[in-house]
Amino acid sequence: MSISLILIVSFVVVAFVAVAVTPGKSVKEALTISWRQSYRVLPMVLPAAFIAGFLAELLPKALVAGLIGPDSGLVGYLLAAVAGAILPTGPMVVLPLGAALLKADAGLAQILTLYNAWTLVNLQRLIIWELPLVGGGLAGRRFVGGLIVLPIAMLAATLIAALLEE
Amino acid sequence: MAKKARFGGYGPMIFVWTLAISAGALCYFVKGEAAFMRGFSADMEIIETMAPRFLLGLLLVGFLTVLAPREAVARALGAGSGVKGLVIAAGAGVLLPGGPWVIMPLALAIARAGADAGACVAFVMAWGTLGINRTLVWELPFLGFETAGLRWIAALPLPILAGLLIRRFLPMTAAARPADGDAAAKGR
Repeated sequence: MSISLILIVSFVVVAFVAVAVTPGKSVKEALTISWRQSYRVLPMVLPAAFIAGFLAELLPKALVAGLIGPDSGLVGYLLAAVAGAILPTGPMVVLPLGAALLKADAGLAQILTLYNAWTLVNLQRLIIWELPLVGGGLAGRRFVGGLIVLPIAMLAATLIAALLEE
Repeated sequence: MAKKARFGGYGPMIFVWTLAISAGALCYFVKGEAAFMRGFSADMEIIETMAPRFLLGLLLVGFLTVLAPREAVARALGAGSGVKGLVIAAGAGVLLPGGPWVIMPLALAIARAGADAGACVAFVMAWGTLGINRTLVWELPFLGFETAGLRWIAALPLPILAGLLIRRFLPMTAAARPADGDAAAKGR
């Protein structure tokens, strides 16, 4: 059993116990809320998983590797940010890909930018998860917030790369 | 979910299914059967990882919704909660494990319970860029301790900053809230 599964199981157990022992809180009510949420969300989760795997196959990975070397300048940063925004995958692909690109002579600052962009403004997450699950108002604000702070993350990536490559 | 008119509320679902089927078809016809099978087995692995976490996440949503009294959430994470509210929201995002299938329903739950858009943004963004679970499981092994650690520290202020900016310049009106006409809208 993985760490993340253990963590989330313990969260659920703690929350369950908390509901069960608090007077005036009903486990049945909690389960009803979960159930209502699940039949709205489940039909969207399955196709999301299918999209992830197929799009990873469709992606031109070799091309990405060639474009974001350490000396690629501003263009490289922008390309890295765009790649991070459109990469349609989870951490199980993005981080191995980042590590592979680093080995293939991509720049550290560019890879950090790519990863930060993936965490802040990823379009797949926006379209498949945020829009359907929290609605356009919140999802849009979340995305705009990510866009605003992304340049700060880029600057930080440059500093980190300079610090570590000294 | 906010707008129920189009396609009887099935719009988002039809959209993701169309996307999934097109991606699969494109993969098969453009990249060939081998690529399709690789993609398909990757899909199955994702579902296998996701399913138990997703179901547990849904359970958590129910329990947390019952546990968190609306007034308390509104006080702690509402528009008047200041930087402290954003720090609390971001802290929750950092600590909570799980994929988007866990976090998005939770964001909806806190929005319904009276958190403002700034707090929701800080929560989801902190999960996305600082989530401790992903840092431990994925970033450390692939980026190394120094790089992953420095990246994490540099990203620390981002969710709070984004939350502040959204709260200041793009506050969410009660009408635009993802509430189904219940107390979250009235309670402001």
